[in-house]
Amino acid sequence: MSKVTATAKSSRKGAKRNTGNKAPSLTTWRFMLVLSSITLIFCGLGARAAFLQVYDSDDLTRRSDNRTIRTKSEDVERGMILDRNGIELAVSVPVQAIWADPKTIAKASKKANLPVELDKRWMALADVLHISRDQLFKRVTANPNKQFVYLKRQVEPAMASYVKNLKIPGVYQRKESKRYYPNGEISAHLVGFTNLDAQGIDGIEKLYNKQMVGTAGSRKIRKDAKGREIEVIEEVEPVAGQSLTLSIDQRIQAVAYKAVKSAVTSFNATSGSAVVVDIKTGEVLALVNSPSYNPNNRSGVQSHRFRNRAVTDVFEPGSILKPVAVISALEFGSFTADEEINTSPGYMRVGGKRVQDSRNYGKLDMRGILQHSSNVGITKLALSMPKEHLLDTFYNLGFGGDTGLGLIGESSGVFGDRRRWSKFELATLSFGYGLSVTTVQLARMYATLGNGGVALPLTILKQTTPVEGEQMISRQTSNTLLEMMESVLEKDGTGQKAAVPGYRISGKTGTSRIAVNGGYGSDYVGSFGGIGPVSDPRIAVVVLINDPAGDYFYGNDVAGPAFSTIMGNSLQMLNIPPDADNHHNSVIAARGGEND
Amino acid sequence: MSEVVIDDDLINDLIDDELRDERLPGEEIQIDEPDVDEAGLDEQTKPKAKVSKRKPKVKKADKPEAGEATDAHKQTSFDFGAFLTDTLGWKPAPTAVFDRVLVLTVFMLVAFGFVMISSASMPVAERINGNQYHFIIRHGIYICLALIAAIVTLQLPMDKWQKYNGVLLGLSIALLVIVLIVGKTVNGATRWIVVGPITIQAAEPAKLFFFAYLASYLVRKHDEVQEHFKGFVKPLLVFFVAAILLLNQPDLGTVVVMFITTLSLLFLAGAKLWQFFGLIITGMASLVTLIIIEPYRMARVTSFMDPWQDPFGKGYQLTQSLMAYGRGDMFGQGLGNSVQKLEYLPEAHTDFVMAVLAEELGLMGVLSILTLLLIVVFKAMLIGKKALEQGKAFEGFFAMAIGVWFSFQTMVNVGASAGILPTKGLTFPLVSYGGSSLIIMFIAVSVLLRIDHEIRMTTTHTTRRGAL
Repeated sequence: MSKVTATAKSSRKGAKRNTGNKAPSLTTWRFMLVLSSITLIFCGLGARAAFLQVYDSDDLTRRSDNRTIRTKSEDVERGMILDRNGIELAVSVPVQAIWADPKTIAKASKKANLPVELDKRWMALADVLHISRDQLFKRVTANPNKQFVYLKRQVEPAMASYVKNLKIPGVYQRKESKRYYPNGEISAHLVGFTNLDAQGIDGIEKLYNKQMVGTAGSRKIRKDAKGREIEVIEEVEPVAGQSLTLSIDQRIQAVAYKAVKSAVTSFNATSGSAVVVDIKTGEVLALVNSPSYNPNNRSGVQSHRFRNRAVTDVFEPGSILKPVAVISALEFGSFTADEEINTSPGYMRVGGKRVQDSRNYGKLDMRGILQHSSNVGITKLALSMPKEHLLDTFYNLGFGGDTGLGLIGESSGVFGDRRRWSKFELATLSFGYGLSVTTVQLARMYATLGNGGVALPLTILKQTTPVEGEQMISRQTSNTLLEMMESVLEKDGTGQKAAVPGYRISGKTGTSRIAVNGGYGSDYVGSFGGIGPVSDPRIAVVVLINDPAGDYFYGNDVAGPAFSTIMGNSLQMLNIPPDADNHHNSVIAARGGEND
Repeated sequence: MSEVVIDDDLINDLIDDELRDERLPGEEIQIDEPDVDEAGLDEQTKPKAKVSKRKPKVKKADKPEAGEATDAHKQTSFDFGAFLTDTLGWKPAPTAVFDRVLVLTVFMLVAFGFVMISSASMPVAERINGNQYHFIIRHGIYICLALIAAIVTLQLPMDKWQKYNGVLLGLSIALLVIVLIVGKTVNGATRWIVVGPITIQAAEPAKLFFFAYLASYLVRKHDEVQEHFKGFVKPLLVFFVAAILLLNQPDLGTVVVMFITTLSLLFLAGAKLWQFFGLIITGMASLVTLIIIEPYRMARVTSFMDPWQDPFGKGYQLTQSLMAYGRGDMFGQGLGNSVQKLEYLPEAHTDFVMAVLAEELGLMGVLSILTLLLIVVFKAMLIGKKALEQGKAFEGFFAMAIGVWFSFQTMVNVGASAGILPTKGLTFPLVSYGGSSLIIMFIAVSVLLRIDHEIRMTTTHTTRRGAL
């Protein structure tokens, strides 16, 4: 074909057309176009990088942080609750929460071609957790997109390890702690309890939750894709929860609970409470209520059982409050301690209403008035001074105010701040009606009496330093009162059953009707408050039995024996020597009998 | 001035060489030697001059020098001191026998790459091998092998490339066929031929050889290319054969790079514009078809368009890569401080080495490495232009092919990691980990140097002749 002989540089077939043997040349514009395209591409890459790295940097960094930064929390154990002697009232024990990941479960069962319902391991799991199989299956299959569902919480270690050995894909465990209350119902009201997330929701557990919880530690770390830690960004050291030492003496608490429970049971009462206060420090040594509940298993407990009645419930106290009017009269000086007051004929009219005694006691001194709990006598005392003075005495002894305890649900009672008080109202006030008080308020009043008239705030925590008190009534008055009230427990007093062999005890009974619908019904509150030993008062005890349903309802009958038991045992446990010399031997005999 | 003497000697040899073109291969070796040695020395001296920061290279360089010294030094009385100054560019050296800037840039890229691979590969290496230096050692070995390959290539006159272009094309196609038959399959892609301890990624030499063929074709049929549709279509048919083989691996990335390079070369060679546009349209259409019929490609396309739609599934790699870019900010987290390389980015040392670089060195690092590569590409294009101007058409087209190839491979690699192109397993030229790629890239750079060297020799030769 080719007639032109190709020479040196041209290729063999290159010269088909007569274009000469010219080597291929470059068109400048084509070359420049390619070159600028390449430049443009590189600029584009640079621009894209700039967009990602400068404009979009924050957003991308945030997304990366979302994937790489993890915050691990390090739970700390909740502090214990101890009694004053170090006995555990509430402790935390390690348990497991068992949870499931429905998404993983769905995937695994699909892979194994074995529906959850037919998997023997799932059946075993349901059985060991005491959940019905259907319920369990439903929970893990209902929403397969979910990634977390609790199966059971607070599972004991033994059971948890069984579950672990089932090796069910998608079933996991998480450490948590369970609160355990070794003393059960004895201290249930006082100590309270926590919820599943270890937060206190009642009693001391709630009141001092913050201290006991501590601060969970946290580590903000960056991890690699295998979950290994590569950088610690932030670290908060965990602060262990503090243990709390209460003023409670668990031995006294136990005795008190037992006594109140037996009183409530024997007299078929609605409820009962007892409070024991250390007179010299204001520390509460025991605070019990019946009926109680088992804080370790609260399922199915009626809600009224949860009430810490000693601080929440108020009632018209009745005669147990009579010492107040006596104190008032003594302090004012309208009567002397030995002055005789005529209570004949056993009743009197005040402001058109009748005040009466159970019988005609004739002439009584103050001691006699208290001993026999004479309404007429006390009315005469109450009306012998300006009403302000009487009311102030009530205030000074803590009625209508708070006790310093600050427990959950504590009431400060009802003490109307009225302008006008009729004579009859003042009279009823003097024998304990027309105001409502709590058991702890009464206990504080008696503690003040025992403490030479110095009112200390009550406390539930063990005190290391003495608390500053306030002199509310003179030491002389309080001492006089103590001696007078000793007679209540003597042979012809109203509170014989509260007597403690071997000890000199002062006290006062109280029997009041419960107000219903604007009047008073046939339900009573029997109470007894006392101080012992008289020679050197150490503890004040108040026992209250609400609505005894049997034939007995007087304070002496229903609360007296419980008081005696609590007072006697407490004095003994606190190693307080008996101060009643003449009874010494019999006391030992009696005590020996009790200890059996 | 001593250089002038050297050059004269060399030129004479070169001329001889040219004249004795048709000699038997056995005879050639001796005659080529001085020239070859010169080129080899350039290559060797470079790392020396650049100082010992790259140990393997210095070692490498010492050996051949010692071996060849006897012959070469006798003949040329080589002035080493002058050569050093020459390399470092302390004084202008218009008579330099090679492109210093190109060599320097290439070594900077390789050094850059070595450091980044060291940083990026350690976590992966530790996971796979328990030896965190696994990939670093290998990359060092690859660099040594690549240098040897480069030295050998430098000794090869361009005529040989042109002469054996048919053989090269055959080799290229053969490699692509062999890989489909006996290749090793990794992650669903059959891309590697295993010969004893050596694993070759077939597509890498195939690319280079195909471009050699293409350059030669454009010279041989350059009239036909410009005048006839036939001339335009023929190389494309060859390309389609290669493309079909590549797609069977599958390796769409290489196909795209080859396609664009072929197109660019046809364009530069003066193909008619209408043909060109027609081809672009059909090319695009077939690309789209490929993507549509192969669902995994579709998935890649959709995932790259909005990786955040499925950041833990299809978009996983890309989102991790984008986050690496984002964390880099302007100046980076600092060398070695990448978080994304810690098992988040699955191919931190290969496909996504740029992402790690972006995270550790920031936008500045990215722009630096892009600039370095752009310099290499420009050098290639300008060497090509100079060659064409001197009538060395094959050399010119080959150099340009290398330039376009490098730039588009860079585009695909960086574009994929930056989320503007679908993810493809292409390396960043001279930087990414991978023996085959590194060796072939070094050979390509050597070809550029050789072409440049031959141009310089011709230029000096003519001027000297003129002067004489």
